[in-house]
Amino acid sequence: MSDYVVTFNGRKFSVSLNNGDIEIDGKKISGVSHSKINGNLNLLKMDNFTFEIPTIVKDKSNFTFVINGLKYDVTARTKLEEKAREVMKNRAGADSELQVKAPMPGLILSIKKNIGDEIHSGDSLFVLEAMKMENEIRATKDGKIKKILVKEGQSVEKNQVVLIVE
Amino acid sequence: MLKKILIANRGEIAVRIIKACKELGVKSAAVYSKADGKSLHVKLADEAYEIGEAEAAKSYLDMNKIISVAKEIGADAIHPGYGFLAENADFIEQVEANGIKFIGPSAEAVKLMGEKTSARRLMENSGVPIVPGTIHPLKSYEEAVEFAGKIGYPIMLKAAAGGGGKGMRKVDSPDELKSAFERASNEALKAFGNADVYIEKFIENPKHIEVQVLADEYGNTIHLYERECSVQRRHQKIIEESPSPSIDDETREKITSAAVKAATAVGYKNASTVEFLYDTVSKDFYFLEMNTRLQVEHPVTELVTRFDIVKEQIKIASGEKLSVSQEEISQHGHAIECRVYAEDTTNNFAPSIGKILHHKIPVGPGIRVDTGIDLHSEVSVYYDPMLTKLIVWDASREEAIVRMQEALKNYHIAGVTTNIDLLLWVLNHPKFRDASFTINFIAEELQPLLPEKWKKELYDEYVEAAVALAAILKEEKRHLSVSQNKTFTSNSWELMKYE
Repeated sequence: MSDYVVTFNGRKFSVSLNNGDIEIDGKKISGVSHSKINGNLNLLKMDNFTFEIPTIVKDKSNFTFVINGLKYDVTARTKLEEKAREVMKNRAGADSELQVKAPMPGLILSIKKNIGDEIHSGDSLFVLEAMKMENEIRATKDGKIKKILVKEGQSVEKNQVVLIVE
Repeated sequence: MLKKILIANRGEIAVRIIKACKELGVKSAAVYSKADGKSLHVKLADEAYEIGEAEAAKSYLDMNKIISVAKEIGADAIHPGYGFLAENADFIEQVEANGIKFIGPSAEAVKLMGEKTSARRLMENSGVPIVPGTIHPLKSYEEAVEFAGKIGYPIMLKAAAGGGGKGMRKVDSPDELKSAFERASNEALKAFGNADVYIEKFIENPKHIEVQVLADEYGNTIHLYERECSVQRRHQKIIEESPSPSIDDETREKITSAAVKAATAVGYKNASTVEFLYDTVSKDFYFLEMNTRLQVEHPVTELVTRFDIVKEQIKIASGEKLSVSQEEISQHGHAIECRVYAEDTTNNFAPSIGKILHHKIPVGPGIRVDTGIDLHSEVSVYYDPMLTKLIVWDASREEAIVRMQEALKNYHIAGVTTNIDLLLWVLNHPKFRDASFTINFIAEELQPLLPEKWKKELYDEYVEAAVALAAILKEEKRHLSVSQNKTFTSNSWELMKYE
């Protein structure tokens, strides 16, 4: 019997595996079986349903599944790993910073805010030109601009941090 | 009949054209960039020629290179598909100057329709209703201020050389006009090499309805009825269908005749689409633009009219008369198309790039899949993120929606993030179901639920399966690493690394 903590979209599920039975948050699901068709395809039977699930194994804990057109990015950790992670997180301090990243590679056309500006969710932060389209990147939460890491006219990679909101 | 056609395009549309060539017994020649050596269109064509770098400007947009390849290989025609060089009048002129047939309209028609203000002038003179606004490009910001004041806000600023939503801005009030004017001009200059913009009155909550037109080189022009493409994000269509669920037979009659009138006024030949905005309240429609090419969403028309548009394009270019008369064309049942994009809805719709690691397409009655990808295809930043068009046909709209939902669920792609989940969300939405959506549907219904809220209910359905499989795979990984550890000596550092 082994216990895992599985995270999907910020929701945590406590999972126990026990010889073909699975318990998710205390709810027992029996008759679960799994077979691997190839490195990117798994067959999962549970509750009389059979799912063919395209799979990407990102590393030992992170998986992407496509189930009936829906893409699930899921993280599975042992209880120990989960605990270790929380300790690390607390050590780093309760950081409420939000890194605003470039969603795609492109050119920063303009930055709409200055360091220290108060911002509200929905405010335009910067304009990124990519694929010949100008994309306005907006704030997803309220806060204050702490750092601006790029200059107008600069090219950025996908996921490059453009500014930091606190 | 033409003997060999060079297809100056890539992706699903190149594949579509290759299929039409094969069915007509015409040789097909693909061209490809360095990024596309293993792409599907290269594998399917009878011949394939590399024409340059991954950047479109150095390959698919390189007119001289494409024309010199066509001459070298003895192609007697070029099919441009859509995008890239499809609506480039210079290209058409050069192709024809080299004695090669261009499968599409004349350079003059493209110029006339490509310059949106000249198109608007021509339509107005031909009795086709246009959206109120300027029929000449704006000379200055000051002129924009004056005209916008006259017709009243909100207005649309549009690129005179434009299309596809680029260089287009809605302006709600005078204080927004200056920055919108500058940005629209800039975007227009970058996208089309021409900074001219003009003003149209903003129509509140219209629908996008367009009419497929075909014309031969002898002045015969017919329509293949309408498509509705109101589900759009920033003027990029996502879902299209035919017939439109929003118009009655009387409007259908009026809008299709207006389209034929528009095509005739330009002396149009080959396939084109006349786009209209439709006001559901007044039942008025307005000419928006004429797309002088094969349209992405042509398959829905093919399914309801049971007529192959691409084969007809090739026949027309071969000098044949239209193979059908207007009376022989009618609408049967209902067709819907969903565009599957490699993009991440929750991350500002950023294009998703990567290698296709799993690809299984849906099959079954009434399902058509037009795709440009294959297992192990690379989806790169260089090209349009549209991967595949799923098209379904069924007897009624309700049945077609259900069929499409099943097709989407059974379209399995791994390796890139797709918008399949978003398409399922739209098909389930009450405003899509009752066809009350307008072109503002995505902005009004989806935008407030971004980035994650819209997914919640949708994703709850299979969350247990995902959670279970993650735990199972994790357990396998652990057993695997334990057994691997055994092959190492009891080096504690190694053990830690594997745990």
